[in-house]
Amino acid sequence: MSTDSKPEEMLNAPCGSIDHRLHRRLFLQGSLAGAASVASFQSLFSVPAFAESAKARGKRCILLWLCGAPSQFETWDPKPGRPSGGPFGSIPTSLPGVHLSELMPKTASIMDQLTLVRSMSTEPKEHLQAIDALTRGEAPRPPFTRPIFGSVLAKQFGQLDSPVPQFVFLDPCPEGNEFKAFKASNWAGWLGAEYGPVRFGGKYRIENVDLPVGMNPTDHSEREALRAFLSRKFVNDHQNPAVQSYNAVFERVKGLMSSAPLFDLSKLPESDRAKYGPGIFGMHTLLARHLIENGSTFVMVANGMPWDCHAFNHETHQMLVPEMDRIVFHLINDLKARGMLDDTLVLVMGEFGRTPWLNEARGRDHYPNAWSMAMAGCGLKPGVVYGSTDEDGIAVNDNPVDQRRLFATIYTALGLDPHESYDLPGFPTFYRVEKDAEPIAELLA
Amino acid sequence: MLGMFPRCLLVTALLSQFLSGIGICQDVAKPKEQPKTISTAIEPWPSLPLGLDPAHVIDLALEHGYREHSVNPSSSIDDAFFVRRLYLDLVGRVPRPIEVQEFLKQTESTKRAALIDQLLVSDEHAEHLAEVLDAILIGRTNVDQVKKRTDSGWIAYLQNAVHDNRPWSQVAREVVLARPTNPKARGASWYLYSRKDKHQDIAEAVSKDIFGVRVDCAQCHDHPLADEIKQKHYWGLVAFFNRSKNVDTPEGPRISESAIGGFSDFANLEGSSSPNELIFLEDRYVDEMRPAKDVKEEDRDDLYVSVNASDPKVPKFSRREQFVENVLADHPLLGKAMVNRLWGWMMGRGLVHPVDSIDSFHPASHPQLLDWLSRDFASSGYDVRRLIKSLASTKAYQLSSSNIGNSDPKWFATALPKPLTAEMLQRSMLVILEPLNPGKWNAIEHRVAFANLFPDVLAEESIANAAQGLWLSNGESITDLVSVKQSRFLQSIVSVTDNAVLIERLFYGILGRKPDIDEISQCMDYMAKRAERRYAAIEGMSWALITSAEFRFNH
Repeated sequence: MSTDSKPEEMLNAPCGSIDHRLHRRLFLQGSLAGAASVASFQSLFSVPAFAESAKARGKRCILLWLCGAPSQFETWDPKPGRPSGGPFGSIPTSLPGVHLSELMPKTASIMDQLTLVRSMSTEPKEHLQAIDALTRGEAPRPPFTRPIFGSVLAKQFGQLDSPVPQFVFLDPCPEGNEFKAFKASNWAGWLGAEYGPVRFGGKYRIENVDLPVGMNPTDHSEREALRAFLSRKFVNDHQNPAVQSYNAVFERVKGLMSSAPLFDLSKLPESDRAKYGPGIFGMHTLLARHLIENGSTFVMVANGMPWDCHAFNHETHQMLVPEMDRIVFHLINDLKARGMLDDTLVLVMGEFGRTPWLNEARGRDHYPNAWSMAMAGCGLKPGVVYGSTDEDGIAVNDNPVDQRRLFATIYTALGLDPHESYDLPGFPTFYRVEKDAEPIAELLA
Repeated sequence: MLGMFPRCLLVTALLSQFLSGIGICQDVAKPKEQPKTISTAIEPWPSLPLGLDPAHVIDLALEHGYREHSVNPSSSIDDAFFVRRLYLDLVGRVPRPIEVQEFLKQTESTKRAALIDQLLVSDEHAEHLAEVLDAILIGRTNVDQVKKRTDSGWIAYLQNAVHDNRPWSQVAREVVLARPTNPKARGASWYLYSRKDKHQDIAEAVSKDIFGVRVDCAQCHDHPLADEIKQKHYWGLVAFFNRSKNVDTPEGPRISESAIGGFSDFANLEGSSSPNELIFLEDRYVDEMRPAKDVKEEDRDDLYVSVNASDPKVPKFSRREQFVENVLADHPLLGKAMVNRLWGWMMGRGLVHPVDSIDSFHPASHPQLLDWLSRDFASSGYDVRRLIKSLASTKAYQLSSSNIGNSDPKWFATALPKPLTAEMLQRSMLVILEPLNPGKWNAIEHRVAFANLFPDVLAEESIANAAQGLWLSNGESITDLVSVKQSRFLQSIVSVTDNAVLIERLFYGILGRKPDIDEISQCMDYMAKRAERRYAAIEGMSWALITSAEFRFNH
């Protein structure tokens, strides 16, 4: 669960309220009295004092979330011929001296455009805790819920008056054990529900996006404005994530109605669909590209938990990796061809790696000690491989990277200060990245 | 029912005696920096005697927590708030205006207690609590499965159990044993049957639902976060059910059980194997002869109680029976899980939260209180109705939910707003708007779709999603429901010519309160702009109230 932790730790905090974040919201609304509208909170970011910086504007991010956690040996850090290496060989890439698994020929051909970390070393060993750490940047500390970094980006880069949802979570496989539990948690945390994701399930269509029969757009808007007005006092009096999130979804309705066609894959060229498809992971990655092109800030593409290979690791990777290889290849190529790679960061990762040894079911189990992740685009130096593991992939040789350093690097690449503190009255001081973790200079452009 | 408890003075004296232990402790030895949780502070609680009024014990324990953590409880709610809150929690819908008026005009000081009693014995309560229990015990599903739950007698079984206030220990025993002996209990089998012979699913469900503990994590290794949950408990619980098999009999779905088999080893991540012995939490253990390796067991008639081919098989040594006799019976978690869940239902979050995570990684906010309430519940004969009544009678339950500048919700210093379940939301909308064609809403397809759109029941944190917003804004059903054409309630007010009066009646009818000055003026403007389209104006305002957060939550 996202709020797992020892509550005792909280007693030293100045105040134990889960809801003080909302005072900030009230404070901000008060400071803008007269500017109130349905979209008032979004429009805060037009006020220079609250906008992080103009240079960061327009940055975008696609996260290909390989949930369940892929094996580094069958992807980014092959160890051919070693006991840990498995049956697959390695192949040279467009980056001299760097090899990838032979299951990834397409990505190997654009390795000079990727930025690879082979020395990920993190702590949580279980999916839920690891997903939390690798999407929020910290272990939970209830009652304070740290936002997922997609929410942070949606807030920082959210475009003024954009009808397009800023944080989209493409979630074709709603079941999926621990991931399901994670999905039920509060993603936007202390930033407030308006920065949570718009979730889009297995269907390629959003329901209920047409005006009710006989209603004109003005009536629809004014009816919503009345709803918001009549809810205001109650919502202000009930500083509670459930209440706030309920109210926030109505602020999205209009934007979703106008941007619904964006989610219609049948409107995209057949050639695109053929390239990415036919699997749902590819289709949703194509959708992610399309949404980013049309104004979304952060799109997370998940795919259930197929990578959790506790049994038949090699067979499963033999099926899954070529699909991922093709998807990553086309996504990077397409973004580059459209001139979008310079301000779009692409992340390809799971929540940990997998063991150098096999279990009795010929699976690889969870292994956070030494694993790999890949990135490309915005603010990063292309063609860099950072860190390495020993010859069997058991331990990191040099330059270990935990999730804090990773996030510090990601934020910096996107033009955000990783050490910025959250100004949340009544909260302990939280930073975008804790413990003064430094970005990895070698990876930054 | 509660009259037999010693009244306030005695309880207060007893409790203050226990609580004062802290003060003494502080003077003598307690270091200043010691964490101020109740768990470390109040050790004498285990000896707090039973027989006290649970509502009073709860109030004193929570008040102690307020003082310890320097939080101020919010004010108490008035009768109008109370009647809405209680109807929603106990019968799953908002009260009708006439029910509100009746309650408000009563003058007896005991009228809240009387209303609690009245609602708890109603058929609506049985129907509502059965729905809640169904969603918790088996979960949201599709139309086909909902029909099967009804046909199998499962829903009727739950309703009867609530209606007759059957001891929770008996209900738990019946659903886990799944061997109904009387026609009223025939539906009890569906709890196991619905798992389709997936024994791990059964184990995970039984652990969560009956013991309030999630063991899923312990499938591959001892629980990484809660030491007391071992991998052997996971596979032990599976073993209690792994001889069971669904069978269809003339009496309906049943679960037969084999007398042999079900012996295997489980391996941990280090690769070492252990036998799956019949063992569960607290190392409650059932002895069973294990056949030697390579010995093939023989399945013989004399191993069974009955050899009638049409009956589900019942072995003389039944692992399920052993489980309910030797593991489930009087297990401390049996009562604790139900107390925590019903606390969560009434108060908006569990003393342990999430409610089905009673383990060392999720300490209770008030551990001694939870322990005492669990013992009290067991000693009452697992009396669910009495427990709900106690919770509804507390000061904490009757606090305002307005919480500006307030504390961590785990101290229960304000009431927590609770999202209505799908069933509660639907029923409340229908009660208020009185559609001419309720059949459409009550059709099973519609109810199931609605339940899946708003699936949460006692969720850890209920976060709304865009699909809900779109449905509420543009869905065909709600547009239809909030129309003058369909709604008897709206038809009853369209002829009111004074707009201010009409607005008041809308507010009173939907939210159960009067509009304030700002709300009246905003609505007057809204109507004035649609002077030529009166129905559209009324429908717009009704929609705004029906979809308001104030309506969506029990507060």
